[in-house]
Amino acid sequence: MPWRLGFDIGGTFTDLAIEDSRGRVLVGKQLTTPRDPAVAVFAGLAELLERAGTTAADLAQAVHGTTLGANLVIERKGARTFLLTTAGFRDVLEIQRQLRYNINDLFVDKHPPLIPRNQILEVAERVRADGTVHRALDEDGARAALAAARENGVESLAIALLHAYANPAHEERLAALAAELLPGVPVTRSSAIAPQYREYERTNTAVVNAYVAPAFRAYLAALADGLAARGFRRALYLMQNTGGIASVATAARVPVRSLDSGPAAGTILAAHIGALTSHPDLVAFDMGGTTAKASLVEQGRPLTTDRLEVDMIAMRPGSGLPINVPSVDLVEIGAGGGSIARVERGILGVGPASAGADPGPACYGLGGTEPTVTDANVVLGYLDPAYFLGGARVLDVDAAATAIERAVAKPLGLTIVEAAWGIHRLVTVGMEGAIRVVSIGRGKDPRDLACVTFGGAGPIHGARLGRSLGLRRLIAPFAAGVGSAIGLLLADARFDLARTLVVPLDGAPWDRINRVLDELEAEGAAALRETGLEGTWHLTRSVEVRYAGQGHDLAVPLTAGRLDAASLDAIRRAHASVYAAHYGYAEPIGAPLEATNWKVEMLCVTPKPDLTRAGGSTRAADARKRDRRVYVAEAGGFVDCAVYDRYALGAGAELAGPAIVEERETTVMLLPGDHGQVDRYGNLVIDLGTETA
Amino acid sequence: MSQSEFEERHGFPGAVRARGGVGGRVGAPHTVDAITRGVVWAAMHSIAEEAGTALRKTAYSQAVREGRDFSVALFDRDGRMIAQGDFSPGHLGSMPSLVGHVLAEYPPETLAPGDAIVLNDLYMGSGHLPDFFMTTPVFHRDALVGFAVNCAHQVDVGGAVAGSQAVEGVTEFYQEGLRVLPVKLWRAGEPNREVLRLINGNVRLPDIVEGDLKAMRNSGRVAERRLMALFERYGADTVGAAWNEILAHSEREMRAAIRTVPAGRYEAEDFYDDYGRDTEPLRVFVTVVVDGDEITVDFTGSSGQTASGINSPFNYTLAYTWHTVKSALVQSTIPQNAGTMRPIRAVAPEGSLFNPRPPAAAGARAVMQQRIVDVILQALARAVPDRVIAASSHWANPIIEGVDPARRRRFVFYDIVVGGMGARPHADGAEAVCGSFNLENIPVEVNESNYPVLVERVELIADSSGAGRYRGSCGLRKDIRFLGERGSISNLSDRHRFVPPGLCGGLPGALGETVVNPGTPEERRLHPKAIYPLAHGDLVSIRTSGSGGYGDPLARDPMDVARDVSLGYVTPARACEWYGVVVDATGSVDAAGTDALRRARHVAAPDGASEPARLGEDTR
Repeated sequence: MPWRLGFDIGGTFTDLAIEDSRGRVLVGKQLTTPRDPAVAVFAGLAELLERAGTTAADLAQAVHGTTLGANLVIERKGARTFLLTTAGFRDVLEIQRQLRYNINDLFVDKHPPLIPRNQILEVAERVRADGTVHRALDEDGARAALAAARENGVESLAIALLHAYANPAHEERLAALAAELLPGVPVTRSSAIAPQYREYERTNTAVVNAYVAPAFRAYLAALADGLAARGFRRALYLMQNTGGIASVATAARVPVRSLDSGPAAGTILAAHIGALTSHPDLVAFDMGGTTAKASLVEQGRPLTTDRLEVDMIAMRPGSGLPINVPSVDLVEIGAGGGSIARVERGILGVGPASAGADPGPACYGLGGTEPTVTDANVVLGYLDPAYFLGGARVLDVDAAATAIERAVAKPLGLTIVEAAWGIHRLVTVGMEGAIRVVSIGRGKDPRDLACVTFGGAGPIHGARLGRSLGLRRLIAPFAAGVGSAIGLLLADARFDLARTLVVPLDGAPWDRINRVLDELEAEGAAALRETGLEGTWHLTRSVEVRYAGQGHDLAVPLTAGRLDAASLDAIRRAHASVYAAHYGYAEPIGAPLEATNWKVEMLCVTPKPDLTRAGGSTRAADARKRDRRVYVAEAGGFVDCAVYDRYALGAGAELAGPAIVEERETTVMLLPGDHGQVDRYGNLVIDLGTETA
Repeated sequence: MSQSEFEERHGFPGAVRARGGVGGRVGAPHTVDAITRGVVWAAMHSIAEEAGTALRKTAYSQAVREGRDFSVALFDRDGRMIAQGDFSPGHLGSMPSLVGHVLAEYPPETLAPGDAIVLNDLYMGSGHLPDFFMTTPVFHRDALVGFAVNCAHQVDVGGAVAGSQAVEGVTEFYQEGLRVLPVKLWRAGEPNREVLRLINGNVRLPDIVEGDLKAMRNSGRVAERRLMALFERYGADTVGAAWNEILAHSEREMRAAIRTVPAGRYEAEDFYDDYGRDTEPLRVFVTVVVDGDEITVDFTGSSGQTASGINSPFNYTLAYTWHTVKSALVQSTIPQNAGTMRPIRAVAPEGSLFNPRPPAAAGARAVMQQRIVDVILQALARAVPDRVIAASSHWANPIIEGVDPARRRRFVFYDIVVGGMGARPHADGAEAVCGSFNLENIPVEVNESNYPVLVERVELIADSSGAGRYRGSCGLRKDIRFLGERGSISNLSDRHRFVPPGLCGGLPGALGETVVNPGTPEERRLHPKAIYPLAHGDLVSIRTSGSGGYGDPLARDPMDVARDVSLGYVTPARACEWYGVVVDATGSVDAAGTDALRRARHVAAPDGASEPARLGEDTR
């Protein structure tokens, strides 16, 4: 088994994981170096390789997850990008979908377009919805526009024309002209990366891709060079938003597919843990410093969505930039360890504002004075002030108490402990909402799901969260604090492609549909081949369907092979069943259906590292540290609580709540009635009690 | 410090232990702690949101799924509104009294789990017949504990004209479509097919209406299930106590917010263009009376009711009064419920435009909403100028219908064309966002996939924004070429005669207009509230007004003016005329020329900056 490396660069920490020649995993954590993120990567790599007793030359593969693309957008640090669009439509980016995401705010703010109006150039041409050409492309006008872009310092070019998903000819011709007139300037065509209808989303997707492409490519090249300079001479892969990996070449071509890929790796970890523990249906719950993320794994596969929204204002859906790229269906809320608690008009609120790493929670002693969730967790005894990050940072309990007293306890007339408990409870309610969205909101009853909890703060809240949703089983993986880096080692190669072809399903043009699916499959297969990875290929096809006249679709699976009129019955039944699962009823079979987007997912399943973990004692008592006082509302208040050393717990060890299990990067909390057992992978598998506080 | 030392120093564990935790005071029914109150409130809000999402995603009518013209609210068993989701403000006014109307017809003992009662009476409901309300009683352990209500705009409810929103030719609501008084549409979980048949027999698109009624039923069930779970989890005593406290608390906070407004009477005036061809403008006159911790918005002095579809039944007037006052004073920080609304009153004389007597018609009342918001904000500007915005653009709701030659069937293309919001005290107006409700526009590629139209242009209109230190948003232009046959357009628009005024020295935005075949010999201007035939190939150009500016345009940063010029929002000529900025088309500013020009203007009009906005200017 060859050595493999996974590294994920987050806002505060850079996490690394190495799989050695026997399939064992070693993990490391470094403070992120925002100015040059590679510095932390190489420092962490050197440290890990030394611990493992090997060199970069032994690594057969490196997989990277990053939020670099999203950060370029959020900080508006992308390239000087120009857009060529259909005459009459230069304001598509500014008009957007006109959603007023906060109806009660007279001063509602809207992001200005990513590129200003004078970098948007109109070209006379027009394609109709059915793909026929209404007005030929004005080539002279196009040349003039490209010349103007050149004179004005274009660094990257996006091309997005109306109905280009139905007929890309004009976009292709413009790209050819651009290659001739703007040599060296990267070009993004909307029809090449997001051939689906709805002009704002498609245009925005092309523009974001063009906007991030130059910096993204330069970053990947520098990273590859740096790894090569350290002796690494094999393939570097990038995680995509879907949780599948792509070759660097493919990823560099379409950066939007890897715009926000770090968090997806966590869901991959959860899916894998689910497979190891026989839980194909589960919620992945990841809580870090700033946000919490919930996602759904169904039948062992992360649920994906066709839309990624970046740069939301105050976490309000609809306020950010929508991007038509398939992504793990993550619901992210502003509830992390650093989320700030406050009292407004007599009502306690937590987040989405975060103290981040600087100044950080009050208990960090770095100058933070606002009470955070971490402060509440320290006051309640969930975190050991002397063992935060394995003792790398000593927490100041008094500072936490003072902050909570001033900002929450006094205004509400509560004691400090009551206030801390209130913060803990309220943030848990917020996360409960996020899990509802990815379970009930996706047609799944949470009571049928297990929960895999990870991230620095996730395992502290997991048990209460699970109980309040009626979950029966919670799993805290070993090394959960660097879950995303481990997820990178577990990822398969994967490509998701889609194209719009709006047709009624009765009397559908099956030849055209088969042609669209064939083309998508060919594109996916080419990308898979480019990875050079060995593995088993899987093809999944689906179509988005609605009752004729509705505005929202649901994806239903398609059978393999050529489709024809005989396929319709299966589509009808699948749609009715998915619809009923979502909305509680379905129209009678036979109601007219309309199809919109045709989708293909291609997967290459690769061998996985062995997460088996030897060592530790089968008796939990051998791993017991000094008890401490911990607030357990379910037991009536502060109780003496058993504390265990995660590293000393071996397979088979059993423990009962209330109990705390500590490892360097995270802490697991078990409540009274919870019963945990360590499995041979080091997972702490907890059967949850039912009583809620 | 050890944990026990810490406990000793802060000294509460005994007390907490004795009470069994903060949330555990179930034995004391009439009080509930702040945390539980917060948890119950968060749950109520998420229930309303979840029920709303279910409704929108399963709806057929474009008004619901794209126009977001729907609402969800939750009530206690006495019919007091506890929470309303952040949906259409237009249903706010009817919601608080709605359950009362249902209970009058169906007392609690006649209700059972699985029932759903509908009504669309415009005077009980939201002011026009297309809005159907559905009420679902919620039971906990066999006792009625509350209600979930939702409301959705139906694509058509019969009457004289498709869409049931005609302005001209209707004088009584009997001409506007089917009117349903409270009736059980579901009984113990079973649909009432008799009533459904009655409804289906009276609407133009029965499949769509029935689909939307099912979507409403579905939304009601989502809310019902979640409310039942809330009661199961916390118990009726705790939930009831939390609701009481939420109401009391909301009212206290609303009153506190009103007390921050200087007491006094503040007036403002504006006009609707008219209510059909050859009719007179309609006056909107409000007096906002701030008295301690209460606000009254008095519409006395406004025009009388009309013999047309332009009337605002009192519930609708109330809805936009509440929405406007609340959004100016407290935004989203206070829950939307019966408590919040108590200190805010609306007054309008019976028989007036804002409180018409039945059976006055009101199908087109939606086009009135933006003006109610604008005028109340204009009045509030005299008291709290830093908390309001200038008048927003209007929105147009044209309905194009005809025969689709390819599909060989009739089609009804319901469109919403929306400009942006008025300038803020500290920033320009938000572009292309509606000032009075929420929506998601319908993409051009979706328009053209569904209907025989070719949209040739959607863009912001240069020189349409009201100038000011902070400028208003631009008007929006949408050009639609009609490729059907035997077509017509029902225009529903306004601000074709009266501009959206600016505030505190800001200038008004440009007028809107509706033009057919612009720039051709066949060019003609359409009245904003009339129906016209369309021929194959006709181009309809809908142009919304620009919104008002805020503050003296001569105080605008010349660099901001230069940016507007270089981006094409303002032409160099208007930059000079309105802003006193000398700038060329590339955005390069002549600083000396600008300085001289601005100085000359200040000499010419020394009080220009403090001159009140010109209200309701008739620019004919």
